[in-house]
Parts: sequence; C-alpha cells; structure tokens
Amino acid sequence: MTLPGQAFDNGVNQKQSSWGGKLVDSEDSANSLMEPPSEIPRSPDLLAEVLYTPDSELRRPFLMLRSMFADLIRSRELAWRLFVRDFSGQFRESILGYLWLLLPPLVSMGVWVFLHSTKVFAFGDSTLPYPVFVLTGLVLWEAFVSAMVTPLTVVGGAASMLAKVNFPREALLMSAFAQAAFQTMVRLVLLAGVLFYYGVFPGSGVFLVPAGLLSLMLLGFVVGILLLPLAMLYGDVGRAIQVITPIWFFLTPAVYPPPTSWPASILTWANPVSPLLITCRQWLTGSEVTHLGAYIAITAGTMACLMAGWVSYRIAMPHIIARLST
Amino acid sequence: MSDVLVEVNRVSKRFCRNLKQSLWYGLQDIAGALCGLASGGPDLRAGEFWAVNNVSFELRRGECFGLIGANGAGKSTLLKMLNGLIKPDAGSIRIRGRVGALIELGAGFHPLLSGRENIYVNAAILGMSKRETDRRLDEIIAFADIGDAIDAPVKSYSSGMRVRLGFAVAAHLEPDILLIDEVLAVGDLAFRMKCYRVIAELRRAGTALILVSHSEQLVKATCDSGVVLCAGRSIFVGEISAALAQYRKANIPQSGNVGSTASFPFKRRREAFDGPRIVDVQWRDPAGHPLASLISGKPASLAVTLQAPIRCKDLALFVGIRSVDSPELMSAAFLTKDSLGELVLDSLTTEVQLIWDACCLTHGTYDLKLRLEHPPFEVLDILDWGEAQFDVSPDPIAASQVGLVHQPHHWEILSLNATDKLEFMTGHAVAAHRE
Repeated sequence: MTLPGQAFDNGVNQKQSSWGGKLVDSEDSANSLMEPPSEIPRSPDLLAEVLYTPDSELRRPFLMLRSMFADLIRSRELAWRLFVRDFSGQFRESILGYLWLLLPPLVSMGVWVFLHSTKVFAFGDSTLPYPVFVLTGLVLWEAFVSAMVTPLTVVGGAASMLAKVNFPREALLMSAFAQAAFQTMVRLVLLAGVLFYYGVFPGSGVFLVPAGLLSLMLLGFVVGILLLPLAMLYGDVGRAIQVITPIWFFLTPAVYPPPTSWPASILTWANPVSPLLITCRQWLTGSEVTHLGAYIAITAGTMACLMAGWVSYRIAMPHIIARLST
Repeated sequence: MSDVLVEVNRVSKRFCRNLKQSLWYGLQDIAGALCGLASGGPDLRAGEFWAVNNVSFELRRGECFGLIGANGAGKSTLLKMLNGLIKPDAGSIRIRGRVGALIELGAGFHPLLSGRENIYVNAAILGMSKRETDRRLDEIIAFADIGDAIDAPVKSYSSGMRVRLGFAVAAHLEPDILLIDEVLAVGDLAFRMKCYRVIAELRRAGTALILVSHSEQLVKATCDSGVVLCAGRSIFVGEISAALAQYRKANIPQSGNVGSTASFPFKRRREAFDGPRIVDVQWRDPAGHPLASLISGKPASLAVTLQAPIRCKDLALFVGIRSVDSPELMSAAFLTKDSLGELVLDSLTTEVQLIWDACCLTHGTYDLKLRLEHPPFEVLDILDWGEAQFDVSPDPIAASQVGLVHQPHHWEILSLNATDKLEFMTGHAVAAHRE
C-alpha cells in the first residue's frame, strides 16, 4: 500500500497527464513519479469549495442567486436527458403510442360538441364555430393543468433519486416544464389543423400566441412549484389537486364563452386563469382582445411568484429529503 | 494544511421517529428557512433524537476514511450530509473538490429504456456531460460486461446486472472525494473484485475515500483511519485497527444484552420442554476450561449440552460456522452422522463434543449454527445464525494472517542424493533432472 503522501503525488501527476483519459495502471503512475511533472500540479486550493452549515441560504442572497443561476445552467443537459428519458419511455408499453398526446382533447372536444349541438347545455353564443372554440379552450386549459401537475409528478417520482444523489435540483423542474410544453406544442399542431378546416385565421395576433401560452403555462408551473414543498411532505396536496382541478375547469370559461353579466362575470376576473386563457384564445382565433389589462397584471404577478417558487423549492429541498429518508 | 479535502466540524443532525411529527417538524424547518432562520439549534424538540451528534474529523487527499458503527448509528445520515443532500442542524462541513458517491447505483434508470440509453441518463445525473459519456461509452459497456443485455430494457435485468451497469457508469467519474456506502456487497465475486480494483486505482489517483461498510476485513484493508459512531456520537477517531477494536468493544457486549447475539459461553433460555433441546454451548480448551474466544492453531472443543425428556435415537447434530464478514459462504460444517453414526440420547442431559486438534479458523468473528434433527426431515431444535458469535484471535507465532484458513503446519527441507555439485536451478529443472 502506498503512503498517503505518495498517493498524493501520483494523483496530481496522473490527473494532469491522463486528462480526460481512463485511469492509468500502476506502472504508468510509477513512471510519472520519476519524471518531473510537465504541468503545474493541480493545487487543492483551486478546487471548488462548498460549505454546509445549518444557516438558511437566504442569509446570503447574492451567493444564493449566483448559485441558483449557476445550477440552472449546469442542469440544462441533465434536464434534457431526463426529458428524453421520460418522453421516450412514456409510450413504449402501449399500442397507440404517441397518439395518446392527441386523443384526450379530441375525445373531449367530441363530447362537448355533441352536448352543445343537442342543446343539453345552452351556452351564450360565441362568434366562433363551437368545435374551434371548445378545442382552443381545452388545449389551453390542458396546457395550464399539465404545467401545474407535471412538476409535482416529476419531482415526486424522483424522490428516491433526490434522497441519494446530489444533482442540480433545477433539472427536474426544467424537464417537467419541457414535458408540459412539448405536449402543448403537439396539441397546437392539431389545433392548427382544426382552425384551418373551419377557416378561422388568427391574423397578426398569432405572434403573441407564444407569449400567451407561456404566461398560461408559467401560471400553472408557479402554482405547481409553490405547492411542491408541501406536496412532497403531505399526500393531501395531491389529493386536493385531483378534486379541485375539475371544479376549476368548470369555473374557467374554457368550453363556454366568458359570462358578461353579474354574478357569473366574477369568473373572468377572480379566476387568474380566465384572462390568460381568454386572451390567448383571442390571439389564436383573431378575435378582438378584451382582457389585456388583467392579462398583463397576472403575467407580472406570475413572474414575481416564479422567483419565489424557485427559491422556496431550493430552500425546502434538503429539509424534504431529511424527512423522506428517515 | 491545504490538502484537507473534507473538514467535518462538530456536526449534528436530529431526526424524529414518529412519522406525523417528523413531517410537521419538516414543515416548520422549511418555514423557518424561508424566513431566513438557521435550521436546528442546541435543543431537541419532543420526540426527536440526535442521529448524528457532535462529530468531527478531517480527511486529506489520498486518504481513506471509514465510518464504522452498528446499524442506526448514524453512518448513512453523516454520509448524506457529506454529500450535501441534507443540511446539518449544528456544526459545519467544508468540502473541496468534486464529490462522487457510490450510494445509489443506477440512479434514475428508466425500466423501459435499454441499458445503453440508461447509461446516458445515469451519467447525466452523476454529472457527466454528454460528450464525456459518448467518449467513455465503450469503456462503460465493456466494464459492465453484461453482453447483449445492454440493448434490452433495464426492466428485464437481474438486480446484479443493474448494479453492474450502475457501477460501470459510476466508476468512470473522476471525483476528488468518493463516498461509498455498502453498495458493493451485491454482485458476484468477480464483479466485487473489479470494484475493489477500481477503488484501489482511484486511491492511487489521489482520490480521498469515505467508506461505510460492515465488512471489517474490507474496512481494515482499505482505510487508514476511521470514526466509530455509536448512537450518533463519535466514540473514537483515529487509526483504523484501533477504531475497529473500539467498535467491537462498544458493540459486542451491548448486543449481548439485547439478546440477539451473545458471546461465549452461551446459555439458552428455555421455557417449554417437550422434546430434545440444545441447552448449552461452550468452547473449551483441552483441559476442559471454558474459552471466551479461540486462538488460531490451538486445540479446542465445542461442547454442546442436549436435554431430552425421553430416550431419543436416530438423531443427528449439525454444526455450521461462518465468518460474519462473508456470511454467504460457510467456513466449516460438521455432522455427527458422518463419523459418529446415529446420535442416541438416553439420559436427561447429554454432552456432545466436537474436538478440534487445531483451530483452522483465521482471525475474525464467527457465527455459529447448530441444528438438532431427526433425519431426514424433522428438525427438533435450531440455534440459528446470529444467536451466538465467537472471536478467533491470531496465532501469535504465525505473523501473516492472510488466507481463508489457518492450516497448522511446519516446514522441512531435505537434501536428496546430493552427490553432484549443482548449479542454480529452477524447480522445474530439478524435477527434470530427477527423472
């Protein structure tokens, strides 16, 4: 067995000489002892240093912000890898495969169109053909819901990994958002086909659609990550979301036109999803924009909460892991 | 000193056994941290205990450090804090350099993806870039050595194959500090040897190692120094053999009190008495004095006292011995029916003696199993693994205590027919010459 000091020398030389290469065998490292090192040995002082203390990260906000963005950059590749993993693993055990991305909105559109045409539900009339109206509503609503729920399922599903491996935690959120965004994009293609079929064209508002979608999805995402710490500890959150989401759907003017008369009109301003969904649909279908002020206010609020959600996620994570693994 | 890579300074962590309470405290901690408060404090809340209590040590480049302790002593918690997964509640940990962890092999494997695809996932989680992984892919696949299965979904893998693949990826990290939990115990022997070789190579490369293992042999062979944890407290920090001695001292009598394992002489508590029973087991020296532990190469006998309420015949007694370090393999086994023939109990108490001219076991701790049976199928009484353990100390004359067995021996050198004057010859040449 080598002496600790000797191992130290070998290590420095070897890490220099076989930079990126595989571990060299003992003969090589013995040789490298004889030769003077060609480069300056890597000094331990140059190694990245981390300090773990009980103190809250919030005590040093600038350091925290710096490491947050550093981790965000560091986690891009992992986020992409996790996204690819989940996406390509998703439908391997199914016959219909990727069709499952399109089927749910198509089927529910069929149901709503049937209910509407048989006058089971009497909604106020919209200027748009009802199939176009209902499909845009459903796709946008689903975009919101999946942006809200995917972070919860992705982070929840990675619990054992979180408890055992130290990787940038932002990667999970990024991959969750990417999953939700991808699903929405696939559905937009379907929606474009339906719009074209019914001769509805968005006009210049189409350029604002990405912004509208982003606001809507970020709102869902923020709700999701703000709930995350609580949801990781208590199963109640997940169950409550299952109960609340369908109710919320009916309180959002997705399949019916926004009510204009009191008291039903409360839905268009007390429900933060409504202005975003309404505005985004108006941009998509080239209709007149009616709720722009509320849209801007909610988007601004979302951005502020996004930052808060990110910070709380980071700060809560070690405490969550401690409780997961006891 | 500038080459200190890990500096653990009076670190503590508290946990709570009650689930509901634990979650509630977790929520409180999160709320506190979000208000900028430090977690922890000097006091425990109701229902809490110190999982790690005031532990300090330092680790330099190229050193290997063992975390030693019984189950639940706080080793894994300490490892998690070192890995930055959880925060200490008191004290601080300073880490310099890239940390690799062999705690969970195959993290993030998706069961439906192929082994090859999962290599990329696992490598990304461990912090390897795509480029790095691309470059090492062939090496990793060769190291895992699972053949065509590499393109089959991981779902179809055996647990050993999963571990192989996971370790193959982890082995290609180049950490400055490597944390190893007992992941290497799985996998077959050839694979374990491969793992130890990788660890040795990493050490040669200057990686500092922190090892958690229950195998005293592994810890002793690998580590320079270690900390002994007992209920979260560090009871000893320092040189490894001294640490192991402390660990044994702290744990063996304690576990005897609990009643799970006991040292010798061993007496069984027996309430019901409805058939033949093993009541007493004892090691003795040739003079008949009881022995607390054996010495390699010295004579010893195992005296087993049996009680029978009625006369019993056609019985057999089985004695098995295995090392606590490698429980998968029995070191020795003895059956009365092999050399003694049938065993007859015709008095209330009978003593059966297993006599060894020399103890062939090497230095270590061993587990004993006794089975009293009525062949072929009826088992009358069992003293199972873990109920009684004994130590074997090294033969003071034989200095090198390596190998699986202690074979009593002596050397002789004979000169055969030395008429011709011989040049230096190899063994083969001598043999050829004699023919």
